[in-house]
Amino acid sequence: MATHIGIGFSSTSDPVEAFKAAAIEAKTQLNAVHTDLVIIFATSAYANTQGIVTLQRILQPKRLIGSITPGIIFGDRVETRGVGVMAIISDDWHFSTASLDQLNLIPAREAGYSLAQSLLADHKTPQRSTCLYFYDGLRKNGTQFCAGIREELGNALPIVGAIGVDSTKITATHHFYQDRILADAAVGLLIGGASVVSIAARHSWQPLGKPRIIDNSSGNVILSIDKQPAVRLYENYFHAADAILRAEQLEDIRLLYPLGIGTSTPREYLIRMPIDIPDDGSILCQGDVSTGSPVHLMITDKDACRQSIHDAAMDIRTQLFGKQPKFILVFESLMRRKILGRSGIQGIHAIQEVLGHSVPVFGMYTAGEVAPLGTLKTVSRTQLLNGSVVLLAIG
Amino acid sequence: MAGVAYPVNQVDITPFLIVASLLLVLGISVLAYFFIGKSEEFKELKASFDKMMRSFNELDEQAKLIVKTDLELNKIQEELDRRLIGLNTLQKLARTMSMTLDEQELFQKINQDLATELGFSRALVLAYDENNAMNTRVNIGIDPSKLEHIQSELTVDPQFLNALKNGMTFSSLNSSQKTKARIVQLFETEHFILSPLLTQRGVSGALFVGNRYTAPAVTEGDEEIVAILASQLAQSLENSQLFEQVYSSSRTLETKVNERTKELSHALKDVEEISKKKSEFISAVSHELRTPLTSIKGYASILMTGKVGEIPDAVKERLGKINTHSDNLVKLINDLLDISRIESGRVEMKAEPHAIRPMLDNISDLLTPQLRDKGVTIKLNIPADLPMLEYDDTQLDRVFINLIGNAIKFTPANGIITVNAHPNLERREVVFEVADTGIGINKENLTKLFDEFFRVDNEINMKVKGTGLGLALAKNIVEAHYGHMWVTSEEGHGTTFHFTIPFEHKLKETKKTKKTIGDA
Repeated sequence: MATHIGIGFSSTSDPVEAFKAAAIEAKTQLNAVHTDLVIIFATSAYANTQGIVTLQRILQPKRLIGSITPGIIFGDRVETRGVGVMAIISDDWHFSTASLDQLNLIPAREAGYSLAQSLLADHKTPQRSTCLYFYDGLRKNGTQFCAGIREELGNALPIVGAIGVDSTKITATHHFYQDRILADAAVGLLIGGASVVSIAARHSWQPLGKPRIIDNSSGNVILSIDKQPAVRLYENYFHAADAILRAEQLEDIRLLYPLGIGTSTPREYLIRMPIDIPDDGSILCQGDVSTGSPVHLMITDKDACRQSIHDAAMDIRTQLFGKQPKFILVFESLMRRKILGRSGIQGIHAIQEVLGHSVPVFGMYTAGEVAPLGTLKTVSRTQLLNGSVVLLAIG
Repeated sequence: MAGVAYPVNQVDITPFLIVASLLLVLGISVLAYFFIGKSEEFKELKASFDKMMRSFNELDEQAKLIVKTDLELNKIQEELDRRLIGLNTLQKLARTMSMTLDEQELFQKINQDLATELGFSRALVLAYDENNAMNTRVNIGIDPSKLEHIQSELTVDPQFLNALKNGMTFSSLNSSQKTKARIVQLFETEHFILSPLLTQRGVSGALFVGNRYTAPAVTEGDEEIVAILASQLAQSLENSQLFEQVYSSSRTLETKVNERTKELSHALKDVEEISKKKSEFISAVSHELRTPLTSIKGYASILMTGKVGEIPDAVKERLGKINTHSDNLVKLINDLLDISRIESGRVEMKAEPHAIRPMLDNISDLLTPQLRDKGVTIKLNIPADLPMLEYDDTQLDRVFINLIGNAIKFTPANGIITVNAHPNLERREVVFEVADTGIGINKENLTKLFDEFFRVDNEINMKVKGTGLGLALAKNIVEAHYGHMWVTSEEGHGTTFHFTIPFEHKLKETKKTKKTIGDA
């Protein structure tokens, strides 16, 4: 009974050659003919079907999922161009995968429900340890999709997910599933078996300025704050008209100064990244926002960002009672990447410093992270987060 | 019964009214007091609320300042990061560029990866060829069918031409409206940088990088980095071209040297052939001359003895001259024959172990009459422990006689001739020196001294007859022993001939037989 992990990477310009090189590197570490599961994180230039087919031929995986990302995370480095492959063979774990495309045709909640149903249908054992899914970054209703998944799989099952995008501009998004590349889709993985799962989610944002009240919202759209069009909040702080905000500053603002929605737990905030400012002055967020919630402009800095990764790693260590996990998946927010800049890798180093340098670390940058908020102190529902780092450790 | 009045029991309610009034007043007072009190509390609460709101608003104002500063800091940080990434990329590129001098390879290094690392999606390198025509050498992300149009449009743009002329980099940040519009339309890029490729010989081309509309605008930092890249590329191109020129010249030179070497080799062969024929001719002629000369000398001697009849003194005197000149002629012919044998490789060396001292003592004895006649002293400084040497004693004897004989000839009365010998253990040889205190030889003549038939043009040589073959012969003999001979001299102070003889004869290791002088 054993589990083996192999990780490969290549940034060769030719995508097919890159997939081939990464697959061979992973296979060399595994030293096995077949693999049970392959997870792929690749930058957008590597969304190449022929590449996937080549990888399939080399690794012969039973299951394959993945997502495009602006950056691939390893224990010792971050790569902003290339393809990263994690291949797993395990006697202890069971994997089931499912995909759902044409998301534009299905209400998000139903889509989540449907994907979860497909996962369960593919799952041959009653044991379920965790669910991992990747959702399309161009879809603006991630909260509902998450709710649909949760509804089918139950609140007790740890669910982790990521919203895959090509860059901070979110112009295209693709997911990998078996030997295909899907657009406008979601892919999921259900892990079962004798595995210990621990999840840690942290953000480092602090409220700035006076609190305000969201007095009118609908789903993920904040219509008004303090009886004024929602965009006034940003206009006040940035001394700019909404047109200028939209045209010039939204890119920076939404990544550097998201909104913090107050929760029932004091001093705990749900981070919401604005993704658009429509002409009516409302703010379109990536996740749902409740009417009546207090809202703050949020701010953070490099030190706090780095510290939060360290704290998340410490959480994992506490949850695992010091036992080393078999591998760690990292879902790091693009917002935090913008703040950390070139020093982002220093934060990533903290994961192996806390959990051990031999633990394989594989991850991606995301436009939204899915994890239970406040995982350590309370068992709370899985939610769509922004501006956070999520560590999923499986041991 | 009408009109009868009955008394009625009347109750006085006044006290109640008073009490009620008092209670009412009291109540109102209490309520008034209560409300007045509450009103104060409300006022206080309102004041606190207002204060809190003011604090919030102040907090918000401070937050605006923080946001403003933070935004600026983030932008600076981002710009710094971009510059560092750019510089890092340039440094890597410089390293790889320095590893090649091939022009094609240099252009291949400007690839998609490099452009992406520098933050650009499109790049174009235009370079002048030898006919001064501009050609596309690198194209990243631009429709190839548009290149011709782009080139023709660019080459008429005043700002582009001015940039090339003055070596100025310009970008979408600072270009004229007209140029910007032209470049945006040509390259379909909103943000761009154009930098000339400057070399010491002038502009060799231009580098363009650009981004589409959705990308962030270029900064001054980007402009500086692209200018450095262009300068680096131009420098590398120039190096490559210079290398190509040097390489080409070197190849031409090499070909010429090979041709000339071949010619010289042929010439040398011809010279050797001629020299061989000359030696053979001399050898044949010498043999042919020696036979009748022997007869002449023999007949002259017979005549002088008077066996064939008495001869007058005058005839005897003439016969004596015939004899003397015949001897000289025989010596000349013998030397010529030796030289000819050496050159044709027909003189055999009999290398055997000998001590040097006895040989030199014999020579000294042999030359004593001449030394005495001239009033010259000879000193032999031969160490007692000088090892035995392997040499042909007849031939080495000739070398010493030749050198000491010459020294006697050129040393004035009361002069000293010194013969030194000292071993060089490191080189395993003995170095001999024959030094005189004679008139010396000038530098010009020193170089020709070992040439056959060369005689220094001086008064002594004019008086004393010689063939000019002695030193050439001595040098050949020494070299046949695997030694070397050279001469040093100072006019007016004397001349020293040096030569070496190895401890062991080298042939011993290979043939253990006789060695011909011509092998040296």
